[in-house]
Amino acid sequence: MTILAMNNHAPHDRDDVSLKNTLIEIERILKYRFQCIVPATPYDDIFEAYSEIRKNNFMNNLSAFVADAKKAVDDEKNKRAASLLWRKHLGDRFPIGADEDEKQASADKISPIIGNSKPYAK
Amino acid sequence: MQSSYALFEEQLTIVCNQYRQLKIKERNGKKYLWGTIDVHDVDGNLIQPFFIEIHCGDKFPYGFPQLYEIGSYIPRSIDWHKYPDDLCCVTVAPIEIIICKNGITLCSFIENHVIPYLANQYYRKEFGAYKAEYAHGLEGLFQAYCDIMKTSDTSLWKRYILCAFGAYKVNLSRNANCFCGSGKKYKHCHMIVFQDLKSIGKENLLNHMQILNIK
Repeated sequence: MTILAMNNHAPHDRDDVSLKNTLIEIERILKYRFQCIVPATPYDDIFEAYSEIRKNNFMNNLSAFVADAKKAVDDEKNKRAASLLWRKHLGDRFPIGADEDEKQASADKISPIIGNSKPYAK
Repeated sequence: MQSSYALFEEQLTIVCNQYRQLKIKERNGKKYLWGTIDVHDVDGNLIQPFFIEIHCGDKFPYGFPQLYEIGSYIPRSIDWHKYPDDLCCVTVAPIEIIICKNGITLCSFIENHVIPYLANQYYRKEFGAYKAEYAHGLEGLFQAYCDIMKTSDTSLWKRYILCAFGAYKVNLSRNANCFCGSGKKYKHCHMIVFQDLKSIGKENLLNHMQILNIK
């Protein structure tokens, strides 16, 4: 995971956003090609010896991690609930957040940012 | 004259200097922007980070680059103005042509179109509906022309198109009140309509009017 994270790191001021986006990119890359080259001679592919079962197991766990990361960052407004989603994958050493909701922006404070934007689809 | 891609590539570094959470990546020999765009409210509070890619479009800078929302915040659904390949539909064709008539920059695209589009997506998720949107398909194209012409009366559209291309002359000074009764000066009202129609071009207009079955 360290090599994959380094190759696909998505920087962000917020660590949770950075982790979520990095995981999404790792999953996308591995779906395209299940490969992880060690960045030193002889440039071995760590995944080369993986059986199909082990590969599927890895990808299923990664997929679950991505799904919970999306929930924690995009949907969950309560900090404690979001931290519990992270703990499922990062372990009990990950701190539990305060039982408080994130401040929600009011419609009035977003409307000026939207301006005249009017999306369309054929 | 530089190609669309050469112009796009030239502006990538400028964008990355302005948006520190965007990086330049390369796929199939083509560079693109990849990373996070933060949407803030008017007080500067972060309301939602969006994971995106921006690729060169065929017509850049006279057409929008391609925006992809790859973080799955926006559902892949036409209802959400996002296609199954994550491509986002920022606006309707004639409006895009008008916006890009003098060419746009990548930075202005992000500032004036990407961030407002993403903010509108956040708005829908939080408050249940877009602040504004065009309907799907023909209805959306019709709505766009209603905005451009400043009327839904299609019998006037043909006349406006003829005015735009000089077949009818509007005998009004720039500072006179507009003939449409809006109360605005002509130069701030239908003079702009005619300029916009000219920007869209005869070929596109004919094509769109044919699609909308307006004769």
